Amino acid sequence: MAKKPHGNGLSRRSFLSLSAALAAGTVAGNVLRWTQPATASASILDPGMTATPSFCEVCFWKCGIDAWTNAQGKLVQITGHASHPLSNGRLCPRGTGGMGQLYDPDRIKQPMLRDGDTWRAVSWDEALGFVAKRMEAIKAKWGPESVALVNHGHGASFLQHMMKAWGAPVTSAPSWAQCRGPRDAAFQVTYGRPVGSPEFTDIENARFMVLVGSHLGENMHNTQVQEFARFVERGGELAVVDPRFSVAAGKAKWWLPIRPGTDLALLLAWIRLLVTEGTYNKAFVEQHCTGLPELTAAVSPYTPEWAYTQTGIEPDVIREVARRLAMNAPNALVHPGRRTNWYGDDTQRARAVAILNALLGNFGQRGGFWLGHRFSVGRYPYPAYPKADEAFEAKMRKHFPLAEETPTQYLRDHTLAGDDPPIKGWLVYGTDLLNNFPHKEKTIEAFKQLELLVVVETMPIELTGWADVVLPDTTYLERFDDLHTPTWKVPYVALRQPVVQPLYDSKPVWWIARELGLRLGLQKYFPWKNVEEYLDTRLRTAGLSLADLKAKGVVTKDAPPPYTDRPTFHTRSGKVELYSHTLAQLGFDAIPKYTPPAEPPPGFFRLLIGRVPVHSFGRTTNNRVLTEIMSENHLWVNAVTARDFGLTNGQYVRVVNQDGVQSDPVKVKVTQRIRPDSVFLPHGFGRQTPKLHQAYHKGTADNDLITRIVVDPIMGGTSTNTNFVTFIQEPRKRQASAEDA
Amino acid sequence: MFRKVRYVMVIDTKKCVGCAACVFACKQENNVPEGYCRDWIEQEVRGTFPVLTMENRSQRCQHCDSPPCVYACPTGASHVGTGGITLVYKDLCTGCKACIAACPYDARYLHPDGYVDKCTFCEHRVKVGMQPACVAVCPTNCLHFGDVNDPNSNVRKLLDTRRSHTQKSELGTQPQLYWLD
Amino acid sequence: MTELTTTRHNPLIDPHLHIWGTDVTIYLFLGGMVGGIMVLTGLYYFVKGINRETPSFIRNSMLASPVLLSIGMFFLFLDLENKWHVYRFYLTFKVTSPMSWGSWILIFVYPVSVAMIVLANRGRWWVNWYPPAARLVEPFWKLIAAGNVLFGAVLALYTGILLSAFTARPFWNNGVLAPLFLISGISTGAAFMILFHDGSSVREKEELGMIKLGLITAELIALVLYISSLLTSVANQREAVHLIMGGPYTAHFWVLVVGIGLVVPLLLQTLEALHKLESRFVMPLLVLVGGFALRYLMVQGGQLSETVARLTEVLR
Ligand SMILES: Nc1nc2c(c(=O)[nH]1)N[C@H]1C(S)=C(S)[C@@H](COP(=O)(O)OP(=O)(O)OC[C@H]3O[C@@H](n4cnc5c(=O)[nH]c(N)nc54)[C@H](O)[C@@H]3O)O[C@H]1N2
Ligand SMILES: Nc1nc2c(c(=O)[nH]1)N[C@H]1C(S)=C(S)[C@@H](COP(=O)(O)OP(=O)(O)OC[C@H]3O[C@@H](n4cnc5c(=O)[nH]c(N)nc54)[C@H](O)[C@@H]3O)O[C@H]1N2
Ligand code: SF4
Ligand code: SF4
Ligand code: SF4
Ligand code: SF4
Ligand code: SF4
Ligand SMILES: [Mo]
Repeated sequence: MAKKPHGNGLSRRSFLSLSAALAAGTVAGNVLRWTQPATASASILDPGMTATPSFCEVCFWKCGIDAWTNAQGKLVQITGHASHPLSNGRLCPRGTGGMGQLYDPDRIKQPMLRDGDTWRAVSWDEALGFVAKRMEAIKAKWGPESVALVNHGHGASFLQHMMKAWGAPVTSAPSWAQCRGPRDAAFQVTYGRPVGSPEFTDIENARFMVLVGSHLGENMHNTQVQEFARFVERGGELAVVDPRFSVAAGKAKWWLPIRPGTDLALLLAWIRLLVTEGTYNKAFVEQHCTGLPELTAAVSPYTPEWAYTQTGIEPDVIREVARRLAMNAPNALVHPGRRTNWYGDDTQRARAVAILNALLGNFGQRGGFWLGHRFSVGRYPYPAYPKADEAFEAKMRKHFPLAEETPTQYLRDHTLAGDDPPIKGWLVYGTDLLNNFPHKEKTIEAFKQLELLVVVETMPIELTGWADVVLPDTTYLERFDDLHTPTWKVPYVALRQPVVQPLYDSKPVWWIARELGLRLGLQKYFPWKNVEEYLDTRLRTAGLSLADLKAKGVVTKDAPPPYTDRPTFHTRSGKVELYSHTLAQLGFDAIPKYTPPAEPPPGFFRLLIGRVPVHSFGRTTNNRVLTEIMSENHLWVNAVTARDFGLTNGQYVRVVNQDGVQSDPVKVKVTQRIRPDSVFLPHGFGRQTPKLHQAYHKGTADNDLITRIVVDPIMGGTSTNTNFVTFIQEPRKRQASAEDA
Repeated sequence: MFRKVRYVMVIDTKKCVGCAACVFACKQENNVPEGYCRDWIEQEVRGTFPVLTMENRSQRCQHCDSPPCVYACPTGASHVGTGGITLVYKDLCTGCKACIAACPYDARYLHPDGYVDKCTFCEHRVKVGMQPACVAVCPTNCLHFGDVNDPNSNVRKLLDTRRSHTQKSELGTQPQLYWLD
Repeated sequence: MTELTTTRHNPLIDPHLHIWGTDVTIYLFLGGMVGGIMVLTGLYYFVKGINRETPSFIRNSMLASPVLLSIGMFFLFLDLENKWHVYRFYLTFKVTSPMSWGSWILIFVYPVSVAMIVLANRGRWWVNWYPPAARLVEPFWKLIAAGNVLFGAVLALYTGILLSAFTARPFWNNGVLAPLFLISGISTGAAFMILFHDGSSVREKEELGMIKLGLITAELIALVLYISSLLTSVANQREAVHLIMGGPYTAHFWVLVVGIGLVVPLLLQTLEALHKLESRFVMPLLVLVGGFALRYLMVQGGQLSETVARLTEVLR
């Protein structure tokens, strides 16, 4: 790609690998052979070891950790914090390998500024000065709405504060529209309540549970997995709906290898069985729900026999599972799932899940949805934020009335189209934008419309090559962040604190936000000198002190059991809306209607994606501790399909999707564990920048193969499972090189 | 009165999800070099689509009651420590690898420093009353460690109340990893 | 259908055991051969007594054996991962450890074979420069001969026992392996000795020929016994036979071990016995090749045998 100098003008932006100027900085990265944990790990019993309590951010669950440093102050082990409600002393594999994030030799080591067609390593002062100047210039020309914050992760809170203080309301997070969005929207319209993250599911006390997709055990959200194990141990009965024989399916009494994309048919059949056989939770429905008659009428066509024609699930199995659900209600749970943006009709599918749970009357009940508590800690006494413009928000709402957050792809398209208000600056914090939502070439086009692209990152990901400024954040192990007080069964407040001093010239995000704020003239919004002062001020409002939390890491409060027989619902009707007036008024189906999914073209297979236990998206695929067990993703292919295409276990193939997009070489896993009409590819691999020395060209990226998308009209999520691929045999040579790459 | 301590591990594969947290925890606690492991995960899937079963097994040295590795060792480097834990004295080890060949479970590996290494049941932690690192980290709590001769130990209780089996016992090794059925 | 996925990828262990290579093979081969030479020479003196001049080819091969053994031991030493600790072998004796036995046996092998050399070269100046040497050993010649037969046999047997003691490895774990190695050791020993025979004395040649015929037939029988006892044993041993019956070492076994190592020599020898042809070096060389091929097959096959039935994909 030609590297044209980047001035203020439009579409001049070109890709500029951080390599050039970073060369000096990453010499180590190029030559250093990773020796973690060989040289650095050690027993927590060794002399001189000290534990610092904090919480994890290898994923977004935020488990409590004890981070162990040796006499030299080097982090050598991470274990679960005993009294933290999310970890109970135990960790998932990724959290255990967290030190690989900290000591990754490929980390960004100093602030970088795009200077014509090269990078210049600059001082923080110059970098932040540049950002502030550009932001002010954009503000002067188009107003503060024209700079958007795209973010994910606990660290973002200080930037959010800074942007609000500056009067910039536009924010987006792929972790909503690309993830929980459909589910959250569906439960909001149905219950007027969130499902929460961490989810308010009482898995461990359920007597019967249905998992729709949700691959607990591969999805390693620690506490859920802990509860899931207790559920299994207590002999809880499990039905798993999944085209793939997931780990959870391996523990299920009923595995329903559903035809991908037909879940709504199954859910509607279950709803119909409950209402027609009158086995639903009458007390709860009469007292708390509206729209049963409309529901009963609407679902009448959806017999198990009909559902069989769509899903391929035997009518008897459908009946049996429905019976079990009803029999065990209210201690029965249909898990709401988490990454629910699969097919574009996802809010409606999630609605069906919400309705089904309502019919079980499990809200506020053991083994259903609990009503949690929150540890109340006062906000920092900031002056009120300036009133923000709402033009962008209003436009977005017109497209996606029930989007709780701006769908990132909407922000992208809006930016690209140059709609009013024009978006001229993106401040990106901790989101892997070229790997986590579709049509990255469009995203890159959008970048070319920008006057300013700031990337606050720890790793030299592909995205950094498009930035004007790259700011090296510290990892979660090197900084203070804001307090964590989520809704949970027991209220608690947890502290993230530095385990080691920041490596290289990286700075904690609270410092970055504050320094930028000061340069934007936001002094009065950053009265505190350092984050300790900020945190202590907040903690004092709860009768605690920073000293307490530094020592303990987490403080919990006693609270009544999180159950109730008198739940309240914050819908318009104040009841659980089986028939949704909100949706009706917006012109959507008030009760979900089934539409069959598109068929794969002959010779093609549906591409399904998901998690593997030892990795978090792309954020860990360069983590040398974790890649020791899994360094590339495998393409799951049913043994029959493999035979038809002459594929052997462990060989490399390329796949090509319905739009002719080719993958990188990827190892085939020939297995019985997936439907013959589908293939499965774990997310986060196939990195395309050589700056990620470990992850570069390891496996292939699911995101690039997701070119045909259906956008959820209700909340703006983009589908991932609507693409089809077929195989291209790999010439030997390439295979070899891929093997030793 | 005197009771002989016998450490065993009781493993509940019904709960194990094969996540390998136990592997990472072991590598860190025991400073196992890159590319080597003392414990590992076996995921066994039987059947043909759509009739399938799955078992996830967290494997390690079985600390056999009659350990062929110890019998095979010409120098006494491989030995049985307190609590029946099979251990290796680095400084006695010649690296002849006889014990590796003798282990039916392939639980031993040659440490780059020229001696044979293997799971120690985290003896150093057990000595001070802690659980082994793999047991401590396991998110599903499916690994149980303790003294089988102690009537109050949870391993003993589990073995008394649930059926279990051992692996390759036909070889007479009397392995001390018990797998709950 | 079973899918087994493992995260283990330990060097020398995965995807299958491969801790021992040519070093150990060479040791096993030379050890067996030297054992064979000692047995044969020992027997020779029992039969012929010590009063007649020992034929040169016997004397020379005797001279060679301690050297060969030392070479073998050197290769064994090479296989040790911690060579500085080699002395540990001799600070203790472990009854349960074949390897411990093996290292101590060697302590006895050297003296008896050296004594035998002295005995056989009584007339030579390099023995006689100090008269008592010969006179010292002479009275005990029977003992020394017996010692050679005994320790030679033990040495050759041991190379087999070392492997057959590993219950973990089905292809090794078999009682016939030790006798097989003994017989094969003796025949390679004999083959080695024949190489030194100048062919002058026809009688000796025919005697030797007969011995060879016997040995080769014995080895064939031993092989049949070995395989059949695997086949009639527990499942994993039956599976192990697959290694040489369709498995990766089939060609190796049938061509090198059976064909070149036994059948061809057998034919050559019979033809020779019938004075149909004169093959001085070919036949003994083939036997040596076969003997080495057998050791190699055993070392490699045995290490593979545990894994052989398993389909293992390492997730890496
Ligand atoms: N180890 C690990 N754990 C994680 C994460 C991680 O990166 N690594 N990420 C965390 C985050 S942010 C999220 S959102 C969650 C995501 O975890 P989940 O919410 O469980 O995500 P899903 O997309 O539901 O899971 C994918 C599963 O759905 C199945 N599937 C695919 N298509 C269909 C279909 O049409 N119908 C049905 N019924 N099933 C289908 C796939 O086979 C796969 O088993 O995981 C969290 N936990
Ligand atoms: N194709 C495809 N797209 C997906 C998904 C999928 O499965 N497939 N999953 C969807 C789901 S469920 C979710 S939740 C989203 C998640 O998508 P993202 O929110 O983008 O999360 P990650 O992919 O983990 O990317 C996080 C980035 O932050 C960086 N980072 C890590 N720690 C820090 C830190 O402390 N500070 C800073 N500044 N940066 C840090 C990492 O290097 C990484 O580049 O992706 C969604 N998009
Ligand atoms: S689930 Fe695992 S990765 Fe996520 S926060 Fe907890 S320990 Fe860290
Ligand atoms: S940590 Fe526990 S659940 Fe995970 S693989 Fe190990 S034993 Fe199984
Ligand atoms: S499992 Fe192997 S190493 Fe462990 S005691 Fe038994 S034989 Fe020895
Ligand atoms: S390798 Fe070491 S421990 Fe193993 S048998 Fe030889 S000397 Fe003993
Ligand atoms: S007991 Fe200790 S040494 Fe053994 S596998 Fe577990 S962690 Fe590793
Ligand atoms: Mo997510």
